[in-house]
Amino acid sequence: MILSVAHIKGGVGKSLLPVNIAAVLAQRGRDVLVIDADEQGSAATFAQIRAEANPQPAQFATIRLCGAAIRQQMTKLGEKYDEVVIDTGGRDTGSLRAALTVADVVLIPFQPRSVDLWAGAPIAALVAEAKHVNEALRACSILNMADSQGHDNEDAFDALKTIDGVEPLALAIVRRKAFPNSFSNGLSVAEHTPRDPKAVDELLSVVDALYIHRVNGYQDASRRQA
Amino acid sequence: MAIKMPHAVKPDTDRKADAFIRAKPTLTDPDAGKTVVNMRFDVALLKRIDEAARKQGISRTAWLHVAASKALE
Repeated sequence: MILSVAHIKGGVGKSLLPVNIAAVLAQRGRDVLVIDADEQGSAATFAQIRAEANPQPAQFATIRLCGAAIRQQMTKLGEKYDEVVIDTGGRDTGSLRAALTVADVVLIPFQPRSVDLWAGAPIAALVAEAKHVNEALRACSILNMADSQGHDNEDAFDALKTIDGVEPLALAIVRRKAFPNSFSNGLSVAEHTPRDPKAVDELLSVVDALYIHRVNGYQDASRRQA
Repeated sequence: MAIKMPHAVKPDTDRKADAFIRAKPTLTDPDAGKTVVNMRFDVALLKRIDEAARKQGISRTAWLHVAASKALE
């Protein structure tokens, strides 16, 4: 499956999701390619730190591509890997658009904040446009960097349900230190110590929701450890 | 004819995709203006560099870029 984690707005905590998802898939024995299409190159840096980690966690391949090259390369690369995860920058660029033309699923993270949710309509419009080229594209939204308490998450989820053509996952990734801390060590929250069980459960729930039809076919070691 | 131009005629979907992608600029290639160099490094020094980079959460390359820039200032 080709998953693109994308948004036209920055500051939604998007960089943490692609590599965490890729790491979980790699840990589950899948052959994973991450395409870093974000000019910041966070995923590539993560992969480099990960490759130098000791003991070495399950590895995934990472390449940097931008623009139309993503679409061109995916026709060849997509067949060589079990799973492909594309990290695009938080702007409407040729790279983001190219990712939308080849992805099976686009995951769009939203913080439970009004200004973030206002970006729902334009990203939905972009997804609708992409579907003219990629009819099978499934768009999902998720609450990211959510609050640990209060009503904003519920209100935001209700707002996500109003975004046309984008299916809200009934899950949330809460803002937890485990995410940036594990990221800086090239590890997913599922691999990082000290273990944050809530963060691990949230991440694995997202992976399961996205890959449920594929999860049943192979052992979910990461979930067992949780 | 022996000579074939592979992209002379694109399928309709590819043409639509091209138009969709090119409607927005692609950011500059992040590796533009950079070159790959092979260097011999003392193993212990490299270990210290990797440790320092890890603590800052950046790559070995990024750490060396910062260190070299500072030394040149």
